[in-house]
Amino acid sequence: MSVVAAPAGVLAGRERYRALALRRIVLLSALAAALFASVCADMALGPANYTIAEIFESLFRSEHVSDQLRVVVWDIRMPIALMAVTVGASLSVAGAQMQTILANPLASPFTLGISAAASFGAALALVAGTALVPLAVGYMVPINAFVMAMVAALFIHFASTMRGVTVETIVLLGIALVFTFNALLSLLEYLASEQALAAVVFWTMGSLTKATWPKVFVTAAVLAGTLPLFARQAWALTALRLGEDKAASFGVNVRRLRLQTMLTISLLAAIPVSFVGTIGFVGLVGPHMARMLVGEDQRFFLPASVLCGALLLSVTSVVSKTILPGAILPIGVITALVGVPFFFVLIFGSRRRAW
Amino acid sequence: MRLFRRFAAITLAMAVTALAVWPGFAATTTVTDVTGRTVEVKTPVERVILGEGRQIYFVAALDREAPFHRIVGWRDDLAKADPETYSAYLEKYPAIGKLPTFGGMKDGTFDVEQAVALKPDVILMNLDAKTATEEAGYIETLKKVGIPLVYVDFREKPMVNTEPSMRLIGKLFGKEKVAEDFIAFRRQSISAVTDVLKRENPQRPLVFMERAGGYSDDCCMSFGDENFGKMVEIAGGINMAKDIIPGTFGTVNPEQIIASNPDQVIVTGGNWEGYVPGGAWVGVGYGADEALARKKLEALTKRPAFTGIKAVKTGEVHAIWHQFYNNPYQFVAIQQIAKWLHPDLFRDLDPDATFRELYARFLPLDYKPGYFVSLARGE
Amino acid sequence: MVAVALADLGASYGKRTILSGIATDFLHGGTLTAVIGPNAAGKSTLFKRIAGLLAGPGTVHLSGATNGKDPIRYMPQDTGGNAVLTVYESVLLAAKQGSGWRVGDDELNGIDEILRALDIQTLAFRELGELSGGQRQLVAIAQALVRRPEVLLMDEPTSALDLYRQIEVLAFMQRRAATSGMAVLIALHDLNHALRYCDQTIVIADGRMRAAGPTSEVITPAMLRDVYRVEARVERCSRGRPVLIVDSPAA
Repeated sequence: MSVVAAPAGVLAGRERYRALALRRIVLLSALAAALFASVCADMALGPANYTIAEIFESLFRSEHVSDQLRVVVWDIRMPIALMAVTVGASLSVAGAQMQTILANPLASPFTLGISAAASFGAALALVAGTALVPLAVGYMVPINAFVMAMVAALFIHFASTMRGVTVETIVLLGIALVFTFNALLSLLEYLASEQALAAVVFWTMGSLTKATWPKVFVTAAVLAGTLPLFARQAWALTALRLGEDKAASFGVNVRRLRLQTMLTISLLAAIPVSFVGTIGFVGLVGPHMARMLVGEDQRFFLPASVLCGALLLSVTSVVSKTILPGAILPIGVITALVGVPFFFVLIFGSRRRAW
Repeated sequence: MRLFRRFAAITLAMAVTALAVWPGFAATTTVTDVTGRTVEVKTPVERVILGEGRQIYFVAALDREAPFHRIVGWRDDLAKADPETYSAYLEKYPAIGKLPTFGGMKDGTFDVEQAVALKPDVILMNLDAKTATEEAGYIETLKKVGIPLVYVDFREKPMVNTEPSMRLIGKLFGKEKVAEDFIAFRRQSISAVTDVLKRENPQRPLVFMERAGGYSDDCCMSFGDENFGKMVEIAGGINMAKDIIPGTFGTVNPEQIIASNPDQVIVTGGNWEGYVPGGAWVGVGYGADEALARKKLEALTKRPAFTGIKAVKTGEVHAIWHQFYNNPYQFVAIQQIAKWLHPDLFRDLDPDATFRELYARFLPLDYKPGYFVSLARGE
Repeated sequence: MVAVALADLGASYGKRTILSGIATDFLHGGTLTAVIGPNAAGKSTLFKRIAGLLAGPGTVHLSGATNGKDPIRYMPQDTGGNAVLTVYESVLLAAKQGSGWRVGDDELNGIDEILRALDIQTLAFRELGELSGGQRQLVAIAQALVRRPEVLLMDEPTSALDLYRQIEVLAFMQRRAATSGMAVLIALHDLNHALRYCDQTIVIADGRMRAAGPTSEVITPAMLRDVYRVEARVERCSRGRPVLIVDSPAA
């Protein structure tokens, strides 16, 4: 239209965009550095009070250290430290993509009933001894949790594909699921023995002490398998945030993308919940932190969600074992206490809109 | 003898029924329960609801001849939490299979209507259900229909509340004498430990008391300075988690066990097949398979948290029946723990014999060992 | 140059037919074609059907297209959207669909060029949520143009614009179509815009095509009475351009 070219900086847009991208890469690097520091702290701190030198010795020359040191570092601290990272990342990414495909800032595995379903499945195992998949009784608790989480996720998905079902309806359905599964859980708790009750309560509160190497590997593998799927769809997922019609007009197959994403999310959300119990806050707040820091371009938003979730849970892990030295506080309780201050700083300190 | 006992029981039951229908005979007694509430109860009580099935542990001790004759309803936890004891009673008293049951009184949420319909003279509740019971307003509701509710406690502060609880129930049942005998036996059994410890003042070993080890993947639930934690202290040990866990129950960082390097480890266990089928728990209890229990206890010592600790190296790892934690038979546990901690001091103390005597003097069942196993050499 | 012919095109949601029997053969590159009709006539449905976003009977014949991949682009009515993205990113997003993560300088130059052409380069690093309705419509046009479509279907692109922006956008599209050889269909409510900027017009009502052809032949008092239920005249203004004057609701 106006034929007059902008006088100063013909390429202003391009250069400003490059600067913006660079700033985001710096932010992501800072998050990664903070995460590394937090994991190191998680590895270094503990009631056994080993020195940093001893920790390094056991990390790199484990054959030269005492059994106890090696077990503390390799079998007790490291699985927990790494589990915090994988679980935090998984839940945060699951929440981020749930918010993306449902276009709702309140969506998360926790708020849409997937965590509640998993808790119920686990309680079914802990209280009634019911195995939903009879083959693997030894892993009854995580498998039950996973099966129920999957059922809830698929229910949400198929409801979302029904005609006339809007995004708002989905959130309402999710809330209904939360209440349903919580009610079923209470029913089970009501029937439970004290011993089972204590286990259920501890499980629903979430705890990283359940971490073991196989669980770390499984969660890491799920993450490694799903992140590339999201990465490949980065532009399409970002487009979804401009509205369904707009995304479709960009050539995105919205229905297929939603189904793929929902299935991937349910895997990402169910596995960690089934291993470590309900950790509610990360899946909701991790993505919001990421969004406030780098916006919603998935090329930055996705890694930022991974890092924010992992960092949040890793710091929580450090805090949960330092508040009461020697004891373990349920991490689900600490996450919110650790995360809320961060969150407030971002909400009130950032010019960016939160949603 | 058995014939005579049954005859006596029937006569007693008939006499009691006769007394019950003669209103003038039953007196109203004012009792004070463990919370300090004064409650008016028509004694002796003939119809009792047990707020927890495991209250049969003390009911049987007082009503040895016919432990279930007063019970009109109970919570359904005994069969699951302590299947061995339940089946032993069921075998002897098949009628208990048909006793009306309640679920979840832990939550204080029993069905008041059902309770009222059973027309109990009293409802016995455990202290730990107090908050929930009060929140639900059951006491007021029950008061309106004239059903008193009293709290007993063998769990929150067992060392303080066991005697008053036994005395209270003795009074309600009209079995004051039996209750006093029981209390005397308990005192004497505990003194057998504490007197020696006071006199000898031995070095106190550090003990890690693991709650329900192997019940779930989580390591390691333990006790603060109450319940089993307290019992360890009374038995002459130092409870490792005393200063770590602020309340009665809590979870210890597995690494803390390695850091503290306890001299002894005691794991509570029970047959939890009903809750965690095939779980790693140690199934000690009434008539339990000790060889199997020892094998499972051995397996628990292979967990990372127990790597290289003194207790495992020296074999000072023991398992004890979990249900002692809410049970008037706790004094037997104290004796056994004392014997584990100070084998030389208590060479002549025989907890098994104490338990046997407890059964012989107070309980309707025949004693069967299996409540304790140990990896210690010589056992 | 690109040309589009529609043959007996229709669309339905479930069992309800909402569009049927649309047929034209005069949609040529380089010109604007107006699609007019009352509310809920089926204009958006027609666009979605042409763009392949809806299934239905009939065919869309496309000839002379050089951009093999997706030559037909639909620009929906602005739905708001609340993504935390800058204008620049949202246009980049449209350009990069289906391609990799790396962004080349030429791609960014293309975005700069489009934003400058629409005179919204000053908005480039504002967030979408801060924009007014009109500004968003301009961004939507940028998003549609950045992929250089050969057939562009614009669904009421001027509804939120002020007078100046309305004529600016339409004139811009007219020039753009002429220089790039793109065929543009625009759903419009203001029939004077159709008279002034669009060579051809298609009239749709109740899911059927009621008239099609050169704009001045299609917009007639009879059609307006029939389709829009108004008494109206088309007269020459003092500068000789046809102008629509609406008198009253039809009797």
